[in-house]
Amino acid sequence: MGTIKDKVAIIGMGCTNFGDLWKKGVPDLIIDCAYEAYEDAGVGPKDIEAVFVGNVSSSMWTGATVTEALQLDKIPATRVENNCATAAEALRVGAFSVAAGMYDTVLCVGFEKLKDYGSGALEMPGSLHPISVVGSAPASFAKSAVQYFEKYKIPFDKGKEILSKIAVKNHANGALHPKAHFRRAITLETALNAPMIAWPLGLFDCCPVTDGAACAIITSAEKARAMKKPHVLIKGLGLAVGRIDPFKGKFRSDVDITFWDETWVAAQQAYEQADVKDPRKEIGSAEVHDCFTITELIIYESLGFCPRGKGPEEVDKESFTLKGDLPVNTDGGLKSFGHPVGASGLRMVYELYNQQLGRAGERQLKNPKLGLAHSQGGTPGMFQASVTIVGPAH
Amino acid sequence: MIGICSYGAYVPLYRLAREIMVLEGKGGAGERSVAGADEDALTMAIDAILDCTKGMDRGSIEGLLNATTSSPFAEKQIAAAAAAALDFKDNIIAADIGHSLRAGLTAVKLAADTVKAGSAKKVMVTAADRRLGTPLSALESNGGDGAAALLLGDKDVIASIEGFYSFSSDFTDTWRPATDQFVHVWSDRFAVAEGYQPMMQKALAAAMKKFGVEAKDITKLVYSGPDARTHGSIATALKFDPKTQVQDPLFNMLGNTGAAFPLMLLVAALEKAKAGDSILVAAYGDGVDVMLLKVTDAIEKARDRHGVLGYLKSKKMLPSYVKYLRLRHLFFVESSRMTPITPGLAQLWRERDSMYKLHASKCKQCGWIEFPIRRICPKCYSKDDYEQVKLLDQKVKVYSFSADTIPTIPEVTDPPLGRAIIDFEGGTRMELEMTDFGNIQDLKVGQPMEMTFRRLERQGDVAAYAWKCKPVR
Repeated sequence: MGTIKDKVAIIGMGCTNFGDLWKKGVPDLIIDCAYEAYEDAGVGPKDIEAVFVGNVSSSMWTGATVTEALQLDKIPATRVENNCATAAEALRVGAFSVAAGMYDTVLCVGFEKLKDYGSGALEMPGSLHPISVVGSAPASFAKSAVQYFEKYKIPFDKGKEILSKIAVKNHANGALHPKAHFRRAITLETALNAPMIAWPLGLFDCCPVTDGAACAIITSAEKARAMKKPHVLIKGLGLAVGRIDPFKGKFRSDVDITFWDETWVAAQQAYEQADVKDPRKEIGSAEVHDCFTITELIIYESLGFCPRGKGPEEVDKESFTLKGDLPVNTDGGLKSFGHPVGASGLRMVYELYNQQLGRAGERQLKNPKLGLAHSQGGTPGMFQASVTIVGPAH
Repeated sequence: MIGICSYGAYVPLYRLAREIMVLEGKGGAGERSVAGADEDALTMAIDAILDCTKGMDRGSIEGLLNATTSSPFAEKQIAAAAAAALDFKDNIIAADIGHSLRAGLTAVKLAADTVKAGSAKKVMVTAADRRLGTPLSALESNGGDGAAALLLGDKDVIASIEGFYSFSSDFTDTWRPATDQFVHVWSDRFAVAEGYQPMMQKALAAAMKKFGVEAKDITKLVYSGPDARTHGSIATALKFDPKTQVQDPLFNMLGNTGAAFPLMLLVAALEKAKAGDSILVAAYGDGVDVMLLKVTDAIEKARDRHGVLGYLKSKKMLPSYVKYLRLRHLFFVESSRMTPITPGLAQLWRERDSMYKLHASKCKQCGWIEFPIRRICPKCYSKDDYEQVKLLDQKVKVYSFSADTIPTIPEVTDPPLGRAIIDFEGGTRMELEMTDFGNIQDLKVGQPMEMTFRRLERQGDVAAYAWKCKPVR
């Protein structure tokens, strides 16, 4: 496997407010984030040579949803889809097109308009399969919590407390971001006493259903240097897609739902490309796919931030809060910032980009080192896991 | 010797206390059995067959006659669906026999005659009903849901058929129009005085005369009736001792389970029967069928069934009458907005060995077992080189579970939706729906589960069923 390290630069980014955006349609979301990125990068619609479009379920076909919204005429437009890793995929494929020398200025955009459907939680995609398990994503991940508590002999009340602390941390961070869906800190008691959604996950263990869009304008590292604009470089791109489909009753007796295998593999790919030997020390902050609190707990271990089974200790030590040694989800994560499925991967990079360039306001880290974005689509048993590492231009 | 070779039964987990089956005041005594939201005549028949065939090779059964008045389909055979799910061979005689409350005993007669004629050596008979009366009616209150299964054959008979008497009448007291889901009844002043009492007495008297037996020769008289009081009048009139000679009709704990009722009471009688007992069985409805059985020594080999009495001991009380109405789709709730699922009958057909028969693939190269059947071995990558292995009779433990409150689509009438990952003892892991699980906080990782064939409620009007798991009862 080769490496993407230091070949591609992000020169501009945009992100809409995330939330219940009743007054905004899909084109509005695309326009709002794209024009923020144009201004940031100092480019205009005529400079965009190609567009990579990430969306899961808010558009029918092709990348024309974006070319139509932005009136980008007769340029290459490619739609990609990789479930919750969709936006990360748009950036990944866009980066390859730049690294290959095909295009100088590429727009990578991810968007999702979920609220119009009216569902109260992320639903699992429907299937033609008669035995497919129909239900919500919370119940899919809840089973990992039940098995995690069992495996590590964590009493139920302690397990709930650990999970709730993750929600409290992410809400505290999200309260500091002006674009987050929920800008409200919560107490541990609030999280613990919330209604049950899917045993043992309560309301505050679950990310919301959110509208939003985010995008990046990328170019080659050389061109970015020549432009003399502040920018960040892509250091590593990992992607691992599993081969089981639990939606169809497909599972395997060697699958352990207390660890995210695909995330581990995607992280190893990205670490190798970025020359990261000790992620706990070298990663300055991480934006991870905390669709549920139990997901984030297991992500700590699957990204190699701590050994297996040690996530709860780290939570108790507050290692991953803004004041910890490896802050995770400094912008609030999916839990507080929101999770428009096709946009989240680029929203994460948006936070890392702002941290790298010193634009993160109250959330600004003193030394952002390398930033890691992790997206994970699917359900325990089968994931599409993506790890993106970005870092400074020097 | 032709007769019953094995018996089994099924009573759903849920019971409804009759005292809460009212809008105001106080309802009747005792309780009735209530099928879960995902249960119907097909699924309950399958559970009864599972009980009846415990430890048996179902592949040797050559016929399946299924009796019900509450088939989920006006057109489509549920005997064929049950035979497929239970992995019967495909060249069997399969038929549904319905439309009458005595259809179960009629099916036994037809099965016995099939064996006698040499058309089949073993024929399974099931009778299953989900009894639905109009809300707050006596029929709703007296009714019950359940199923019985009897295996008929000419070897290893536990109760031989000594005689059969049939009497047909077009007397109408209970009926259900083809366009109506509710059973209707005429005034019981007429129905009992002109129908049930004289016909049952006349038929039983004629049958005993034909069989050459008197009341004193009968160990147990087993028969159906619309309610406890009416039922009791028959034995007295025929000079049977109600205390010792009559099978308890179980009105207080089961209810009248329709076409399944006479056979369920027979199963209850067989559970207590001893070698040499004579059992006289009568079923009423559009006439009367009567059968005389003689219990053999082999009855002792059939003691490990749940049976009716065993299943009656395992129960969960419904919290309210409204919950009962909701399970029967008679109480409507606003649905959550979810993308509708398109049912896939073609796919179900292609994958029936996995989905209906619950077969896994076992790699012939490395022995890896995978469900559903997979063409490429995930371990050694051999292609199309596997044998099918059966999962249904394997022991099952739960690996993890949850209860999903989100999908309150209108068809999921018993939220929260149970979901589990289970491990079969042979080494297969499967994610699937979990049903009849009670309180989710009481479940434990590793506790034993069992498989049950249930309706997929979300599939609308399409005939979609699948195996689910439930805690062992």
